[in-house]
Amino acid sequence: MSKDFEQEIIQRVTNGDTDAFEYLIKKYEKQIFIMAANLLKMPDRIEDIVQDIFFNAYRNIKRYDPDLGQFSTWLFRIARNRCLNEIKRKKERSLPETNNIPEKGNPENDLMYKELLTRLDWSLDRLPYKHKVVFVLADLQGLSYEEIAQIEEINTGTVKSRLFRARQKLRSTLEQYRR
Amino acid sequence: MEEHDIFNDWISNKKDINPPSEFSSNVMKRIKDFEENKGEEDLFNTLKEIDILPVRILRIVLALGVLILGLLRICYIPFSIFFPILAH
Repeated sequence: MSKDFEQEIIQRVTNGDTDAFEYLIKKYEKQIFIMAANLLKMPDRIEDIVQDIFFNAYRNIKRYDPDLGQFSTWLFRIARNRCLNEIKRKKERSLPETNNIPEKGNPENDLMYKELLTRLDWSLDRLPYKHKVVFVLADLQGLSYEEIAQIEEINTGTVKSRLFRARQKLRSTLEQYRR
Repeated sequence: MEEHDIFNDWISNKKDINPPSEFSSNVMKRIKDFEENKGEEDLFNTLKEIDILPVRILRIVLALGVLILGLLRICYIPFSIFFPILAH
């Protein structure tokens, strides 16, 4: 579907056609779920949080200005702020306990592989929020540096450096663990 | 398995999240409930706005009344002590 069609849908919603909004939910729900699930470690609350994100987008859709960027960028910014508010409100980092960190030196390859994935999850949870958002948007959502810069309201150079640091941290965790 | 492959596998796992099938209909239900109640909410807000000015005036009048009565009472006590005849 083209951007023009999306714009037409947004216009219809703005003019009071509530049902048209379902198209936008279906188009972006998976991406927003991926984003929220990876930024917040609250599996039992993700659905409510993503629902809030879409509900807020609906209530504020008249404020969306297509001249300032794509609808997806605007929606990701709402999602990013909602997740940040959730972290601030709950003081919820929800990190695994230290004793949940996989131990080194397991001889079984399958187990080792699973442990490495767990270790990466653990490292992602420990990244600073600003690095984590950039990593999620770039490597999980596949957004461009420019789009991320718009969402985060920073310049592309900062996006690149945050992404570099996030990846470096994750890879170094992996390397350390495999040694 | 190379580190690079593990990293890519991990990223693939992270993307493997699917919203519940009824998610969009749940959001739409919430939006429709909101739209239905919006009329009542607007009416309530309008009534509140109409009500604000008279209520404020009434509050100011009452506050002034209490203040004046309080001042009269405070003035009356020393007056009644020092000039009991006049006070009666």
